[in-house]
Amino acid sequence: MRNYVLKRLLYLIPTLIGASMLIFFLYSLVPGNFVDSDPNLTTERKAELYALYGFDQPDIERYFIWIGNLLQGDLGYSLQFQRPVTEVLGNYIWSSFFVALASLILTWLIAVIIGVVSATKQYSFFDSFITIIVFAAMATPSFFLGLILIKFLAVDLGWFPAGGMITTGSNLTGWDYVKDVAEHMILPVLVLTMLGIGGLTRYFRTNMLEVIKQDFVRTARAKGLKERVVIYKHALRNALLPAITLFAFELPALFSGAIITEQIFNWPGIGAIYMQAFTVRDYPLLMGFTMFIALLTVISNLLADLLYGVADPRVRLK
Amino acid sequence: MAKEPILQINQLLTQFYSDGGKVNAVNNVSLEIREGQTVCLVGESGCGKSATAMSVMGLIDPSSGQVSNGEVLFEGQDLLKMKKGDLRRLRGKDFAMIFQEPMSSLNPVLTIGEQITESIIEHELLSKKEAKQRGLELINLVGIGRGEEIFSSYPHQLSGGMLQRIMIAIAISCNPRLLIADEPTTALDVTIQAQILDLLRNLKEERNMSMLLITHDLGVVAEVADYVIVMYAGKIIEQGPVVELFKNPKHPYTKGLLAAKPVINQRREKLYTIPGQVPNLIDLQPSCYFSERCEHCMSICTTKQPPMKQIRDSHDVACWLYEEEVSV
Ligand SMILES: Nc1ncnc2c1ncn2[C@@H]1O[C@H](COP(=O)(O)OP(=O)(O)O)[C@@H](O)[C@H]1O
Ligand SMILES: [Mg+2]
Repeated sequence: MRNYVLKRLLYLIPTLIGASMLIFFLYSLVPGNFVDSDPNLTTERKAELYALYGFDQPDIERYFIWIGNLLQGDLGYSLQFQRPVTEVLGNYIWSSFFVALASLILTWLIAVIIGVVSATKQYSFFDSFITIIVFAAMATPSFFLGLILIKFLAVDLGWFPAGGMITTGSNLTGWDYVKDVAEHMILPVLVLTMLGIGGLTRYFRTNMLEVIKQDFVRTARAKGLKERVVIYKHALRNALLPAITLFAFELPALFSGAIITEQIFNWPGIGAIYMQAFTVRDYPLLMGFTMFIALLTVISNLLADLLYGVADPRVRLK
Repeated sequence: MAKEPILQINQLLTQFYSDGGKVNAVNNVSLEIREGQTVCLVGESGCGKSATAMSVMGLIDPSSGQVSNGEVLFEGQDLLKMKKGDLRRLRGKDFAMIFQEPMSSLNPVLTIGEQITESIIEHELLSKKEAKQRGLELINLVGIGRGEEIFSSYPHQLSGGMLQRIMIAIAISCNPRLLIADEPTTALDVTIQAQILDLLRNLKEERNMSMLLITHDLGVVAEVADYVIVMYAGKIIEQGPVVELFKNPKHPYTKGLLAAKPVINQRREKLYTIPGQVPNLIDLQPSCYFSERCEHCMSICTTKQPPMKQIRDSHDVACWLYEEEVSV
């Protein structure tokens, strides 16, 4: 087991090197940069700035400088914020993370429950009704869904704040602060959950239907077990197995922010920052962030395999 | 002789829904199994043997079919009229079933021990510890050593023969009075087949169970059956005590089956096969369903269903050939 993990960790190195090359050269080959995008600069000033940021060096050299810094945990320097990228990410990533985490948990809980009930009552009224709702939610664009929720739940009913992360001008601390943020989180979490739930519900329904047809479920029934036990102990466990992989793949998504939803709800998350960095060509920030997500992605891949091994006795490692 | 029937099926009709209409998988089947008896249900694949067994167990998947008519009397109680919960409490306890595919019949993510003990705990209200004790005894009883090791292993770690032994252990764990075995050896190697059959036969004797053994292997029938029921296209076409039926088969289909069976020490140039195929079970017109393949087919065979006729003591056949013989 330890050897296996070690081997898999070693395999990550070439993958990450490949990813870093792709990321670096894609951004550096795109014509134009942060300095070019300001039309008010004189030629001399531009040359000065080029030298300052190292834009005048050959690409290969810049790549190695960048990689060298990465290895020391330095993701670069954000031109737009004039602060280290790690600091900028640190400032914004957690607000995105909490929204994503809350919606992830909610999405999975609801999807498992609805999927199982839908599958056990295939073609019933509940199943058809849920199918329609789920497809409707999936098909609605996030900006539209977001605006509708703001209109009804925030403006008309006044149940939740319409945007932002804290009540403007408030100076709350401790528990009150947490409560305030939680209230502001509700609508964005709701939107993300509604968008994500469709695919996952279908996935669990299909998995469950597949498993329920299997011989061992018939055996469980033939033993005279209660239907509840047959479904939740025998069938659901098997239906959840492949989902473990899927769950691990959600890890990068927890940190990558939700561009449109954050924009609508004025949520100070990483998605909004990412968008902004694009418009001003803050490439160090974009590169650092993309590299960070790439790292999370390969780690989540590894995690998926390991978790699957723990959960499924057939691939459990000795 | 006059032992009470432990299972009596009357006019059972089991239908599956299909695109073309309803499939009468079990078509007006009546049969009985007496205490201590081994009844073999034989017939080509697709003739409704499994459907009969599943109807008795109450395990016809409601989304694909239903029992439309008939009675299934287990020790006098009609299982079809019983409340779901009451039926569930009998199932796996008073009557139990083992299946054709031992490899896929056990849950891949639960240990063997868990799967043996859960039905004991469910039906006999034993503690976990007592159930484990019983489970270990059962593993020993079905002829597998290393009980503790087997107990904590997973299905993929065992061979097909061992898994079928485990399935048998699960089935007999609550001392059922009737054991239904649906082609229990079909998926196994020939050498293992004999061992499993021996095991079933011994257990049946020791525990005084009755057994409904489904098979398409007449060699198996000859070895274990007391009484044989031959099915064709959802109907019983002949039934009788094993020796009588093997010596004196009446229905052309039964004769064909027996002729198709390879006999050791009697090499023939070519094995006999019954020509033709089982008819589509949807929308069958009143007729003898075997008529299309029958070399003795008469005009009445294609227009009227032959009734069940007693030929001799408890030997019945549904065939127009004998109808005439009797009526003339
Ligand atoms: N779940 C099902 N859905 C639809 N048709 C079925 C189903 N199970 C069995 N049948 C049909 O019922 C008939 C009898 O099947 P079965 O009882 O499995 O035959 P046997 O066990 O004798 O091989 C076949 O024609 C088969 O196609
Ligand atoms: Mg069958």
